[in-house]
Amino acid sequence: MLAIVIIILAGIITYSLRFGGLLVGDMLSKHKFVENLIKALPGTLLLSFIVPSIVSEGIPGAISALVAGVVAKKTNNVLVALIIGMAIIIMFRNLL
Amino acid sequence: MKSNFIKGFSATIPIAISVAAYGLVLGVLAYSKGVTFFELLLMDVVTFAGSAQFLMVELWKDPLPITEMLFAVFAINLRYLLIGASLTPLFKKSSLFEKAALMHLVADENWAVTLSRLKKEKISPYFLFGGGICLVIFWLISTLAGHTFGFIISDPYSVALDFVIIIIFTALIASFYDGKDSVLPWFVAAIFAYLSFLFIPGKWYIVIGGLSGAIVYSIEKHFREDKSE
Repeated sequence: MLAIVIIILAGIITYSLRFGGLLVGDMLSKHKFVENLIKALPGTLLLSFIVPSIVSEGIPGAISALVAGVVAKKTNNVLVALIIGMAIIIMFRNLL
Repeated sequence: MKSNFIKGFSATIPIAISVAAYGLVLGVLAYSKGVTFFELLLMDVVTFAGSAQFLMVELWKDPLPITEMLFAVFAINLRYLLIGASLTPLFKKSSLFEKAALMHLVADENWAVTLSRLKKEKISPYFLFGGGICLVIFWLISTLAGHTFGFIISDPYSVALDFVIIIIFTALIASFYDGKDSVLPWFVAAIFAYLSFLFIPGKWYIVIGGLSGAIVYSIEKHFREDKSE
């Protein structure tokens, strides 16, 4: 039951942001500081999320993440990056 | 109006295929975390946001950490404020009702397709909506298929299922890389995230690291622009 409530609340939050952005539109672009803050958030949040897992995985984790990141940036293809990154980590876990 | 819908739908198909690939992964992960089929379905339709759904599934455990989850969803989806704001020109002639009805299915992918098309030709908001319908169809099929066939993966550790999310996030992070302006903020975010991970219980390290990095980015931009004037 709590799960359903959380999912619906998450939906309401997300929808409010989508619709709210359209409504406040021009106001937002006047505040450069806030605009930059919002622009930087997705990258820094996702990064914060992965840091502890990469540290606990050690060198193999760092290598696989770094390679996947570079591949994603160069090819613009998440799937290719995923396959290469996973190949590295699976190799380390099963062969070494 | 109708042709705009179809044009948007078909223009979004190529990107929807790659979205389906990580939809499949999300489905498998959701299955292994104990998210039910119905909960995943509801999430797909009600939240309809890839990175936020990955975060929610990743944080999924008993008891559900409601505050951390909702805060993380809010923070990661804050960018929709900007995405919404950037769509103001497209909705210039729309009524409030039309705006409210069509905005729900806005994701990064159909937004990007729509804005790049808007530069070349005159299109209506139904182009964006057509793209959204296309995405939600691919999203539902792929995530639910992943969930249904998730049981096939019997040893999640050796196929490194726990690391899939890390790699996907790394790839997404790379797409947000903004040249050397990102270096210092990302460094600060990583340090703060790890320190909070060590010393603060719960999942707050995500929000703390994310916010501190973003603040550094804003400050950095502020001083750069001052200098260039």
